[in-house]
Amino acid sequence: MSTLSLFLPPFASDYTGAASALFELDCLVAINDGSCCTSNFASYDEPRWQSMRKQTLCTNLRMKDTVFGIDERIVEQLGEAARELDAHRIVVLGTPVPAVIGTDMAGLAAELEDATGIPSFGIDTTGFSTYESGIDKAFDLVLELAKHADAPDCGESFVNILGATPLDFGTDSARMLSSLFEQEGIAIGAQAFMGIDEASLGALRCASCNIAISYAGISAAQKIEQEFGTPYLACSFTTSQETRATLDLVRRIMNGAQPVRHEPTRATSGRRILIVGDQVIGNSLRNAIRRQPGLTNVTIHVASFFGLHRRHEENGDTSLSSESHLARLLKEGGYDVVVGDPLLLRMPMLDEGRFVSLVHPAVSSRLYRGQEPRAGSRDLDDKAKAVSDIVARL
Amino acid sequence: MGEEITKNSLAFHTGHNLHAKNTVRIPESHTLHVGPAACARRHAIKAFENHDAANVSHLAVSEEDLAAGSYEDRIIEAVATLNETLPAKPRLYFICLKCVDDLIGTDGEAMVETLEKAFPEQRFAITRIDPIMLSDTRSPSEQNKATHYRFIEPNQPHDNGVTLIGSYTDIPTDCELRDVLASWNMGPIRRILDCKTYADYQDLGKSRIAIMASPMGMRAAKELSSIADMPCRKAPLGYSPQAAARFYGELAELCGKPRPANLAQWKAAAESALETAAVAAAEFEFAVDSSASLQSFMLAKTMLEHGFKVSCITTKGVTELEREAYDWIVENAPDVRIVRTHSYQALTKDGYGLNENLIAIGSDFARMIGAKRSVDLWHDEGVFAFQGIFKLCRMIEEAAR
Repeated sequence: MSTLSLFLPPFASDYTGAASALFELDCLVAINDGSCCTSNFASYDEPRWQSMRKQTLCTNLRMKDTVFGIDERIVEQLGEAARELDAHRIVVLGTPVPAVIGTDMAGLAAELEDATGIPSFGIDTTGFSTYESGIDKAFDLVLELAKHADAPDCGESFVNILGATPLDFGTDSARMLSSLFEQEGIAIGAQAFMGIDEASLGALRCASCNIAISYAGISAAQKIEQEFGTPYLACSFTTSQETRATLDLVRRIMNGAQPVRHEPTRATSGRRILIVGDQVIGNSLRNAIRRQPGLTNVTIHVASFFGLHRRHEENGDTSLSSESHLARLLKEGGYDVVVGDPLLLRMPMLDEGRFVSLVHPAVSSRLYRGQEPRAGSRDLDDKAKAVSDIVARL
Repeated sequence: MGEEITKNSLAFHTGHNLHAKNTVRIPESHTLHVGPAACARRHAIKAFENHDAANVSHLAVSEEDLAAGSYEDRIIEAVATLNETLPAKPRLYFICLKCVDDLIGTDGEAMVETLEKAFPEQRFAITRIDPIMLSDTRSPSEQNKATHYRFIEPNQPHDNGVTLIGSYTDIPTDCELRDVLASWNMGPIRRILDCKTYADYQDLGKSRIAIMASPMGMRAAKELSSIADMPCRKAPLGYSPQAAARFYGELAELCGKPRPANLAQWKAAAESALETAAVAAAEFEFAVDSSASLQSFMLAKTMLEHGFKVSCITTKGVTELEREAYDWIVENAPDVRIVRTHSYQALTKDGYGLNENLIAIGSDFARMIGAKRSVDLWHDEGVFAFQGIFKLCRMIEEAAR
């Protein structure tokens, strides 16, 4: 069903999510599009583009390709480019035009592999879905690669970080998480999808514990849990108390305990707060707000345009389908304070005096670059305090 | 685009962070982007950056809508919602369709008719951002520029104004064109980007002449000429002193005015500036990028004629406008490498195989090939006629220092 947006931009798309997830791996990624889709990714949604020269190409799709067939030209041209660029694997991502004409991305990849002898993969992203869906599809490939990657020394106890993407977090996050865990004496195996490399891929299959720092991270962690039985925790490491509580739990899990954590008290009355953003970041902030002095008796809901995992939901949390859905929720929810991307403030029902900004790059792209929450920092402590201050004034 | 220089069209995007792009906004108009959500994202973000977000909205169509073969009803519903919600009812709507629309083949004129029937107080136009339709005969961006002039009322009385078409930037304040026009009592210079009110927009049709400042304005010039009975002259191309002198001669004739008294001196000074810059940069080779100049072959030809060592030109293809310059280069400078703009070859171990110590005309290309020296020129913006030649020469000398 079509949806109209008056106040918010269209969000980061699935092919952006997939390209972002594969960005630091040794892949020649081809976005199968006319040029706008690649431009969306390179210019608007991938901050690493300016500092890391990666093999992400645009196929320059033209109408004649859709008439005479895309496969032959792409196989020929990508084969030539892959040889010249010494590519070890090729990944082709779908966009709206291939989706509408029904291009078989897996079939295209198979043809490519036959012609070049280079392992090739097709991901059926469409541009009709949002970024977390693309990350999810790309992670299927990452996991497949991990299964065949050299195994690390699985005798050593370590954790993996899953779901770090520049569509949710600042690009400093990988460095900050590494530093945080090093200080705590906890080894990290792999950091997907910022800070990952080919050498650490194998670690994905044998950590003591996975830590999902975003919704996309939970999807990845659940796949690993299903495949290898690895337990996981969800925490975004953006608030001091959440970080402390999670690190303590990580240590216990590494020593064989079950991943059960004690959450702050949940209230269903008092002032009402809505956090609009990624589920894990939202949950972490919710817990941080609940730990603020005097805020035990507040109702806090998390709403996301990018899905909610049921296991991590609380009553009243909402998976948003559109801008008008959010408008309805704001109108009917009676919220006293709202936290979300600064662009939300364009919605007329929101009051700046009762709003706390939490940048979400999948919404606002590069508009607030440098202000994104950083995993491994205490960036959201100030947000929790800001919420507390507003509630105190009410 | 015409002839393909290299067959392999796989592209590497440099990202467009270096250059701010303006948005053309006709006062009291609203743009509704219609297509898969992903397709409008960059336009939405750009609208925020250009403080135009209040005039832009997005109708994200689903795969189901497309499978149904039409989304006309959805657009009508969206316009009705916008009319109710926006602080002021727009006078004009631009419905911007994307690549996928070319697959379902919407008849734009029929859609406009339907919309104007549903909303009789408002006018509509279809624009398209559909790079899959780029070809030698069709440039969506050029067509969209033409569409912006469609609502100008025909047969307005003419004044001494000059309407500038096809450029996102104004005539530079230090450009001799301003003095020439002032000496002829011609003015004001009008641009669509400067229009603050709908009346200002209508005034674009009152000018006595139009100047097409960039080849991107070709169709717009035709549209305006036919609506407003306004003769148009093309800006001089390729940083050629001869072309600049010819332009002023033609302009004088068109306006019924005497040629500028200093024309010969300006031409001689421009020739001299090019020769001086060539000497100053004698130790360097040059790469001329099509993102720097929309007439990269003409610019390269001018440089070669004045003693610069041009070793590379990038292009997406040879347009008819540039055919003569291309043929000249092929015949007279066969060693010049002609490569595809934004080719994946930039990522190969030796890049395009170019000397790192060259001067790139265009900072995007410089970044792409890792050139240490560059001239920051983008789409010929901020340069015009003789002023453009002098400015280019200054920038080259600076890059060579």
